[in-house]
Amino acid sequence: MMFAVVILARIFNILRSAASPGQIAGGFVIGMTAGLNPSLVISFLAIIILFVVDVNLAAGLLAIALFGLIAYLPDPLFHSLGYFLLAGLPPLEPLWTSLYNVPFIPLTNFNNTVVMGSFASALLLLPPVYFATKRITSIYRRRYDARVRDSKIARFIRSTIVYSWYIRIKEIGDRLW
Amino acid sequence: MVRKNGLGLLAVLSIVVLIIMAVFSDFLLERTMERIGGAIVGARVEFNRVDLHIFRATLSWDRLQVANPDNTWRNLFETGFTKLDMRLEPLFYKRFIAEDMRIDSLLFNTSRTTSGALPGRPATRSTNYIDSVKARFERKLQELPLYNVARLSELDIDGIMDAAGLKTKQRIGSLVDSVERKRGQWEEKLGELPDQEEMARIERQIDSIDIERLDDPEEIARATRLINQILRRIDSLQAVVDSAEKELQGAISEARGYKALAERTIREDYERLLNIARLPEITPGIIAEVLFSPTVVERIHAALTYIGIFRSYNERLRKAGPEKDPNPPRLQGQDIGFPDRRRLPLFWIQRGSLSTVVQGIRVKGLVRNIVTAQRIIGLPTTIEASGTRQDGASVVLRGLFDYLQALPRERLGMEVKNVSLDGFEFNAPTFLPSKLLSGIGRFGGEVEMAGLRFAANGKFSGTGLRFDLSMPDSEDIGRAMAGVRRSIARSTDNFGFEAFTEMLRERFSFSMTSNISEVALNAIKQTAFDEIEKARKQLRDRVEREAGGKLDELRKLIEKQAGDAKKTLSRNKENLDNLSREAETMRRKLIERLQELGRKRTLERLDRF
Repeated sequence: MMFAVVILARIFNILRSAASPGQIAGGFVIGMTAGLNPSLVISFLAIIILFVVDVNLAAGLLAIALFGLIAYLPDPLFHSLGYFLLAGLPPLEPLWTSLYNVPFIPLTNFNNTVVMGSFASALLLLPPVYFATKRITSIYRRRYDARVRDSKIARFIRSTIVYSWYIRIKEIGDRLW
Repeated sequence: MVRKNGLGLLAVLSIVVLIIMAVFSDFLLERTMERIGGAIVGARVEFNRVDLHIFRATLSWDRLQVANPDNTWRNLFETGFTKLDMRLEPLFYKRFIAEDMRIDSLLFNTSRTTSGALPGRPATRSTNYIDSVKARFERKLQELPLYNVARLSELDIDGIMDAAGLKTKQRIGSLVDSVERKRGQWEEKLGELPDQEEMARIERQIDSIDIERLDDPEEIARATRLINQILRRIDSLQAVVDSAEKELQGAISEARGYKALAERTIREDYERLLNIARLPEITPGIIAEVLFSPTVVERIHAALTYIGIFRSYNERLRKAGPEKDPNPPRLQGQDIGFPDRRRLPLFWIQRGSLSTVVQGIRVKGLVRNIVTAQRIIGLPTTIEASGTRQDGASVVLRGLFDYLQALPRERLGMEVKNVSLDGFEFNAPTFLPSKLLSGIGRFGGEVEMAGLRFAANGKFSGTGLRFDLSMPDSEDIGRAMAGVRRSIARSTDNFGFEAFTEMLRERFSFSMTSNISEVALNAIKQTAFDEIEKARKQLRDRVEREAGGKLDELRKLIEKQAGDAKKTLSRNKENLDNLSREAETMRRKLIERLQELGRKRTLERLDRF
């Protein structure tokens, strides 16, 4: 039981770490890339980056869940964009051909229109989403954080048993690390 | 920049994921293979207990069922335990290359317990031509005449007439109207001809000239001018009559054409009725087709289904550039292919050994080069299998699917010899009981497609045959036909047939011969011939009754109009000829009179001197 608690504490520690607005935004955009892409290999690579690079893991996991839910909607757009990139631009064909002949790269399904289209869309969205997330995080902390902490919903959550367990595990983590 | 804590957590997570993949990978792979297979075939493809060993590079399954897209309650084929030995390295390039495949128990046309139809979006199969070949054979079967003698006496003539939508009455009626309209035009034309009054006036003018009273050359000259005018008038009237006569000839030919058209309409309606009634022609060729073509067509249909699947998949892969799929399934997109520098196809089973049972004979063989792109490997897909039993029965199966050239070529053939026909059933026979109790048979055939050209041949011969006469005949056969069946079944213990068929675009030929045709012909003639002829006569009489009155009316109308017009014209011509002769005579007399007066005056002058 104690071992499980220690593991949970470690996980929460990691989730709470890297909490600057830039790190939160970084985690969020990496999660967005994973969430939008139907390729398991690309999603897994993005998750590896989330864990390894010092960005906010919680924000990344949140983005994966959020964009994973809505990825269905722009699917036709991803298909069109992916088809254009893969088959509609002859200058890029040597690049795709080279990638196609590198071991393991074909396993990413990069030659699938939706995979390519969603990946390209994530890259295009990366700068605006990063800066927007960073800005929103800063504004939230400056203007709304105190208000939200004192709100009825926050007080209710703090009164629940789940939250009390969270606090205990957090304290264990703080003491250990 | 690097989160050291995260590395540990990542390691834990990776182990968890690997464990989950190890547990569920076979399930995921099975679903993926079923999805891809279903997209190729256009019907359900179901694997049982797929087992992938990455490090041993083997893939196996306990059972595979591939549903028939044309009959989703049956399988195109199913396999028992199957194992593939793959090459590991191409897997890292997403290439599936199996050097060897072993299939236990390959079975064809097995029944299913659930429908094999795919839910949602079906696979697109672009082999419209093969579907049109199949449809042509279906139409061939539908065109076979009905040999149900029992039904002939109850022939529903009224029903057949309604279904046929006869055109006789309407068309002949409209021809009659046309002739009536032409009569009006004709009467107008005949009205332009010179009437009796004009003829009489001309005659009076001629008669008004009294030669004896003409003493003066001036008077003779005046009279001559009058005659010339009359002659010119007669000429112009003759021209009118001649042109009217010419037009009449044309109108008579046209009217006679209407008669021929009416008679042809009657013939066409009669043939239409015969087609609907499907009264049989009694010739040996037709008898052979009725006896055996459903069996032959069923085999051809099955072969075309396999060819259709291979060809449609090959057509999709052969397209020069990747066309954009306008509506791929959500989250699946479309794969775009690129050249492989190692020249490996996406999927290739180099050699597969199979075993199956055909007509109770164990058959073993090899299938080579099941591949997504034959042009990469430069080899076609081939099937060779054979088997022999101790009692001498044998089976040979051959197949070729060649998509190396621009023109696709497929060939499927089978030869079965000395096989027992105990319990063998013919498909939908009419003149024979459907089941055999015993016999020895040999049959074989080949189906070949090259581009749009389809050809097939098949033959069957059986000896020592005994039919199962104990099976009850279906209710609608009737006693007469049941009698014909028994008579044929008892009269011979060996028969055979040969079939040839060919199709290229719209050109279709199908012929069958059988050594049982004469026997069947005689049996039918004894029983059914009179009935069939009586039914034909009924239909013929009915058509003629519908049309008869109108046809007579048309004939009489045409003859009367032509007759009346001819009479009028000949009368006119005769009158004009007479007037012309009278006028010529008068002119001659005037000239003679003038000459006579001239001589008289000369003599008188001479006398005065």
